[in-house]
Amino acid sequence: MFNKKNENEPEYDSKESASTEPVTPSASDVRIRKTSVIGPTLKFRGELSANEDLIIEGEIEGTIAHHEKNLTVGKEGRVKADINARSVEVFGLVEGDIHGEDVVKLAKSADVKGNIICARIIMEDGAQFSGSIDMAQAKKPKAVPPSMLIPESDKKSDKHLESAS
Amino acid sequence: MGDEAHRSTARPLPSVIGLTVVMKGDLTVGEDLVIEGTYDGTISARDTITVRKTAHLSGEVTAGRLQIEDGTNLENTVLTGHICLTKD
Repeated sequence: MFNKKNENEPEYDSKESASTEPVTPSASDVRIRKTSVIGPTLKFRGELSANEDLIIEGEIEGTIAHHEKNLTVGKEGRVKADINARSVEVFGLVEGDIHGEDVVKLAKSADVKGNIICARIIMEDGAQFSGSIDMAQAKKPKAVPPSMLIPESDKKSDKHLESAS
Repeated sequence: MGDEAHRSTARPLPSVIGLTVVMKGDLTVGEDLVIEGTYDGTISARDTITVRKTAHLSGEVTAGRLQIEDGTNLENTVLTGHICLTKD
């Protein structure tokens, strides 16, 4: 299979190297990619960590760790791993615990077997879920995104409210 | 292989291992793959793997076609396939 392909490749190569077209900086160099994609035919077994948005349409087995951004498990995505992310959106299959610091969303096509720890949850009608949901653990101060922090001036009035209630 | 039918009906998303991604393990892929981040382990691809110079690879990479950007550090990497060097 590979051999067939290789026979055709050199032609293409020589054309490319012989061309005298002006070399413009490619778009991919200029653009800073913000989203990683695990395509539908990709199968990975091992440890994965990232600090950018991630879309999983393929198969992942192992751990998804230190993921501070958004994670989407697409319709064709099959994940057998514990997931850590700021927000998690599931359209496919997940076997493992989902730890979302902010929100976890299960679409109607989602099938989740595992525990969910998150601050907020959205579950669409038809979503398959078996496990527990813990929303208290996620409310630790660490889980609060910086944008949600209360300005210094408002804190006093909040304390006031707390003591009153 | 068995995926041919699937690939012709729905064009698969190209996979991208982004700049901040760190992966350690074994990977197989049937579509094109772009590596910008860190990968340690084995990769087996039928189509093209593009390795950007920001990538840190170690392990074994097998692909139909390997496009490697000029300046990429490939220490401790075994490459198999049709290799072509590209300038940025």
